[in-house]
Amino acid sequence: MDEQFQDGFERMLADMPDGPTWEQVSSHQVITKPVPTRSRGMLIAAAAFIVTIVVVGAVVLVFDGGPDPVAPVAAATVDHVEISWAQNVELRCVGMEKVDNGGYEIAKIEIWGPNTDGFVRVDATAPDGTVERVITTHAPDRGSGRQVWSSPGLDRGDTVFRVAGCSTETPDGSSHYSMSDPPISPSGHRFGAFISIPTHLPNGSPFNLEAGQAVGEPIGDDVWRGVPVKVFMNSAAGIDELGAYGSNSEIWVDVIGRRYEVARYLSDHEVLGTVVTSIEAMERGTVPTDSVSFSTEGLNLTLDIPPMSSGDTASVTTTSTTAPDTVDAATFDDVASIDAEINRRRSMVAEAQQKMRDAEEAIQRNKEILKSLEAQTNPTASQVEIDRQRLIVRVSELQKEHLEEIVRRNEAIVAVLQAHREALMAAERDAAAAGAKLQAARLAAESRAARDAPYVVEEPVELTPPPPFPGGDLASGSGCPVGTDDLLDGIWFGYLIERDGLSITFNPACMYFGQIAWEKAAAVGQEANGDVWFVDDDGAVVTLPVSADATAWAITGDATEGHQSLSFATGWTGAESMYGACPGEECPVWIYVNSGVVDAIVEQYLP
Amino acid sequence: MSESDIYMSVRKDLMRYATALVGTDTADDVVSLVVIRALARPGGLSGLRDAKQYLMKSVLNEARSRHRRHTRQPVVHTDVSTTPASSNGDHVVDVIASLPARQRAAAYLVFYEEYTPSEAAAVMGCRPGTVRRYLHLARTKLREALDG
Repeated sequence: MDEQFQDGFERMLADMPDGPTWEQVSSHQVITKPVPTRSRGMLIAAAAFIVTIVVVGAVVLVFDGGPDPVAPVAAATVDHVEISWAQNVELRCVGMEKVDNGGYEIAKIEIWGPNTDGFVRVDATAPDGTVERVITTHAPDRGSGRQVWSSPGLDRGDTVFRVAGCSTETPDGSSHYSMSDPPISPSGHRFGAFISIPTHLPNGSPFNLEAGQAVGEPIGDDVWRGVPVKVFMNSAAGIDELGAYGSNSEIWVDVIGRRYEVARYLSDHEVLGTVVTSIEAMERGTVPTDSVSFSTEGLNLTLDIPPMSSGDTASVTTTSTTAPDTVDAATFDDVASIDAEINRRRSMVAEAQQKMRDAEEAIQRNKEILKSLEAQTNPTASQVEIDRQRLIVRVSELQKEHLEEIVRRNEAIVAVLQAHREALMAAERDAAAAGAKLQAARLAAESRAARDAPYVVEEPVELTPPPPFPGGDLASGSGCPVGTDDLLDGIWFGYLIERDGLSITFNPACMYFGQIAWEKAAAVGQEANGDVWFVDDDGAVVTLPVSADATAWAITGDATEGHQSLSFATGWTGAESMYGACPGEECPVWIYVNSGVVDAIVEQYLP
Repeated sequence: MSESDIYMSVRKDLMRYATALVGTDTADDVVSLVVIRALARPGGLSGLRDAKQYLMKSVLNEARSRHRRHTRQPVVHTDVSTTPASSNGDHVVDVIASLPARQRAAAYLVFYEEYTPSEAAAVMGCRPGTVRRYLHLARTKLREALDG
């Protein structure tokens, strides 16, 4: 189900436009909107104003005082960025894009590398002296610019130092060029990648190759091993291959000594947030590359240690699990299914705990073997054997860590499921109580005339909302009902979500109108839209009985004719609503509640 | 960061969100409008504590307003039995497009952007429980549509 949503959105976004450029949004003059007075005419005027904007498809407003929010940025004191590199690659400055009002441009730099797989390190020095370092692969056989490793943000594709552009400086002949150089495209070099270096990152580049990198030396895997590296894959496909969740994913590569690497896959997905998997890396050829496999899916970890000699067949394969990494508690609609899942998770925890004990025993056993090997003075105890035994110990440790993660993860999931179970049971109890209350109220509502009904609709119904009642928080009508489980008698705003005969499901919301609307919106950094502002931050719904002779006041046509009076029981279908969405999540109405029964429903005009 | 940097850093996110909420035809307009409004604030985009969240909230508000205005027009119901059968994927898109703005926003943020309900709630200005309710409603509607 959730995947279908994802696929659906993928389809919807397939033809997504790029969006307005900065020049387009920044070139419009703007107004500070005056606070309108409360009137029906104002509402309609505001609506017409906005509709006009929609129809025209462009936003042209009029400046009405105040500072210009898009004043040009201050000119930079240095007008170029210097790029330097050490490998056999060449850079060419291509295309420029004007990005702000300061007259500076983004320069796109192409990296052209040898027609072989490899890496290139590029330093870019900003006008302020900041140096950003990029490591990128130039793998022309796999296509251009497939992978760029650098500071966060590169997976979005971007370009370098926004306040600098290609200047007119010429090369100095020592592998230092400014971005102003004309294209350099010698034969034998092919396009490798774009580089792009955000300057707004507080943590700067994570790379530190100085210890192992000499000018002119090709960058290989072993060069940066030993240095903590944060690796960003700029290819969604590449991330997906590692079981990640898309563009929010990151892959961390850490180094434990020079022996093993542990890749930590971070996900912000749902409950657990972090999924850890382990990758065993080869060392000095002890473990060939093709014997190592890894996947975050289900936290599988398999590592076969190849034989060191013809008579050695030892291997270690870690335990794998196919358990899902996370659980969406909302997908469990009943207590029984939750209980089944909780039991299943608890079984997994128990199983993992048993395996952890086995792993701990294996660790101790293999450490003893290692200890004896290291203590041997017999020259036949080769370094290779010691290395291999160390590797076996390490694999057992990783296996244990892996099992600990499974336990931790499933215990967290059980906690979430238990909380969801409690919530479901509480909801069931509430629903039962509400049903009894509804029935009682319905009986009491048989004759509205017999009840005290102070809240009645005064004709003609205005398009403006009822005024705030004294003593409230200035929300229109009887006050702000959000957060209440039980609506008292009064006039309440909200959304008429569903109708079932003579009962309605109602989502109470707070409506502020006029000056107070602007003040309430400003309090949360927003603006009132057409003189109204809503607060509906709990999403709670209530079910209310409707009296048999209740009146529904629907706004029909273009709202200039006011409301049309209909019998809720026999005449109102919701199709009369000018919003075409009644009942529904966006069906704005006022309800008039007397003695716990809805006597009138008045559709609210919204601009 | 300059105003332009801030805008360019969130433009794609805003466009995706707006496209998911109002479609490709008017996503540009929605994004333009909310950004221009934000620029008109004292301090502009730079003065916002979390510009992305602010702008995404504004996109949802604007989408809801447009949804109300749009649905004032006569609703034309297509008799699916007389139209050529569309693919299941198209059907899903139709169902998504029919969801109320807040349900659609919740579904987009959680199912597509993979926000947690808490993160989606922060963007939508509501509580996590509300997001879960919207997700439940959206799932139910899609399930009914696909089963029906």
